[in-house]
Amino acid sequence: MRRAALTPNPIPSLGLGLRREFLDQVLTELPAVAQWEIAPENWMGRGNLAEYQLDYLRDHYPISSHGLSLSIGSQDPLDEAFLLRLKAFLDRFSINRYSEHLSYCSVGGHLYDLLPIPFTEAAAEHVIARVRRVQEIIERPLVLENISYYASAATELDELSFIKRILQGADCELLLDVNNVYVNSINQGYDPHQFICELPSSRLTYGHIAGHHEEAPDLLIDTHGAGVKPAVVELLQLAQQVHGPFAVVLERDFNIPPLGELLNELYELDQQLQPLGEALHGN
Amino acid sequence: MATNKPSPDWRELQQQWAAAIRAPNQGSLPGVEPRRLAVYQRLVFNNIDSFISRGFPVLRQLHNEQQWQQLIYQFMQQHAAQSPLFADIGREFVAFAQQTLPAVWAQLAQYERMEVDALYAEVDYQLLHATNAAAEPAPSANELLDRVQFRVNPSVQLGVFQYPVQQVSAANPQPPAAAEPVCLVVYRELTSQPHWQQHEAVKFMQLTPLTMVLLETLQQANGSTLRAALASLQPYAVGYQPEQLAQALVTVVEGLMQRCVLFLAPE
Ligand SMILES: [Fe+2]
Repeated sequence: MRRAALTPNPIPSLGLGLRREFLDQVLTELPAVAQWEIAPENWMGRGNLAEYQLDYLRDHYPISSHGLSLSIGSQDPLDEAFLLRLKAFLDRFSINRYSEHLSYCSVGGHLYDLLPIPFTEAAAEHVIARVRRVQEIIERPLVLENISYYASAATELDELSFIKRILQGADCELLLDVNNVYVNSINQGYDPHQFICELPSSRLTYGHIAGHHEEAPDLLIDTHGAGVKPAVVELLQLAQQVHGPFAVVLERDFNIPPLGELLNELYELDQQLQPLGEALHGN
Repeated sequence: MATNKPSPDWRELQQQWAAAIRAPNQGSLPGVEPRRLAVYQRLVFNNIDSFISRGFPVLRQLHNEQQWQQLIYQFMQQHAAQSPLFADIGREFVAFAQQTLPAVWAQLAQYERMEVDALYAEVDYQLLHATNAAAEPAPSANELLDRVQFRVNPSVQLGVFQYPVQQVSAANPQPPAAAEPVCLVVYRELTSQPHWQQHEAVKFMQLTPLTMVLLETLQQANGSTLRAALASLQPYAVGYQPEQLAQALVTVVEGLMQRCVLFLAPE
C-alpha cells in the first residue's frame, strides 16, 4: 500500500461521518476532510459543550446533516414540533444539507432503528405528502437515502420503482448509498449495476459509502463496522461514471478504528475515486 | 400496477412488523424468513439496550442478563417513546420505570438520569457572574443577606427521595426507606470561560432539607435576595429565631457559592 503517498493534496473530495469517539482529536488536529456529516438527533438538546464543539467544527469545515428519527414512512403523525426544532438547529449552525432515510423508525412510538417501508402505491403516496410537508417546514430540500433492508414487507412495487416514484412525486433529491445497494442486491437477489444505472441522474446529489458484515452468503448486514469492500467501491465508481460526480461521505459507526486509520482509508478511497472525478470534470 | 392481487395494507404491515420486533418471542411475520426478522429484532433491541445500559449503570448492575433483557423488552412493548432524540431515551425510560419498577429502583432511575440532565442542561453563561471568584472582594454577611441577588446554577437538578438512592449498589440493592427525606443535588461545575475543550465535571451532593428548600426557593425566584427567601424557609427551621436562621443561611450560601451551585447575579 502506498500509504505515505496518501496525504491529500489539497483537500480530499470525501467527507466523513462524525463520531464523538474521535471528536476531540478532530477539533484539535483539524485533519483534511471534505466535510463532516452529523446526525442532528445526536446533537440537539446536548448542552453547551455540544454547541461549542459544533461551532468550532463549523468554523473549519462544511457540515452536512443526516437524520435518523424523521420516520418519513411511518403512519405515526409527522412530528412537526421536532421539525421546527430541527430547522432552528440547522439554521443556528448554517447547515444546508439535510438528508434522511427512506424508511420508518416508529409505529406507536419510536423504535430508534430503520425499517423498510412496504413498497406499495399507497405507502408511496403517503411518503410523498410527508416529504412535501417536511420541505415546507425546514425550508430546505429533503435528500432521501436508499436504505439497506433484510426483508421486504410488500412488493407491490419493486424497490427501484418505489424510490423513483417518491423522488418524482415529492420532487426531492436522492442520497445514493452504494453499500446499501450492494447489501440489498445480495439480500434480495438483484443486479446492483442495473439498479444504479436506472436511477435518475438529475436527482442524485449525494452519496454514502460504508462497510458491511457478511452474516451468511445471502444475508449481508449493513453494520458500518468494517472497511469498504472493493465491490462497493466499484459501485461508487460506476455511479459516478453513469450519473456524474457527486459529494460522498464515508460512514463508520461500529468498531471505530483510531482516527488516523480511518483517515487513511478515506484518503485511499479518495485516490481510487478522484481520477474519475477529475476526468468527469474535464469533460 | 399491473397486478390482480389486492394491494396489501401498508399500515397493517407496519403494525405487524413493529409488534414482531417489540415482542420477539411471539414475533413472526408471514412471508418473512425468521433469520431476517431476527436481524431487526436484534438491531432494535441492542440499540435501545445500549442507550439504557449506559444511562443507568447502577440499575443495570442490579439485574442479571435475563432480568435486564426482560426489562428492556417490557420497555419496548409498554412504553410509546415520543422523543426522536437519542439523548431522551433515558428520560423515556425513567417515565416507564415509575410505572414498572419497585419504588426504590424507580427513584434510583430518576437519580441516575439527573446526571445526564445536568450534563446536557443549556446554560446561559451571560446571566451568571462569570465565576464567584470574580466577585472580589467577597461580599460581607450583610451584603449576602440583603443586597446580592442569587442565581442557582441552571444545570442544578434537585431530587427528593424516600430511599437513599445514592447508596444503592450491587452489594446494597434495596436499602430500606430512610427516616428523613433524602435530598440530593446533581450539577455541572460551570467554568468561567466555556469552550469546546472544556468538559465540565458533574458533581453530586447530599443536602439538608433546609438547603434543599433554599435552592428550590431561589430557583423559583431567580435573582432573589436571601432576605426575601427567608420567610418561606422559616417553617423548615423549627427552633431557629429569624436572625439565627439568617446567620445559618449565610454560611450555607457561602458553601454553595464555593461549590458552584449558587452564583451572584450580575448587577
Ligand atoms: Fe448511509
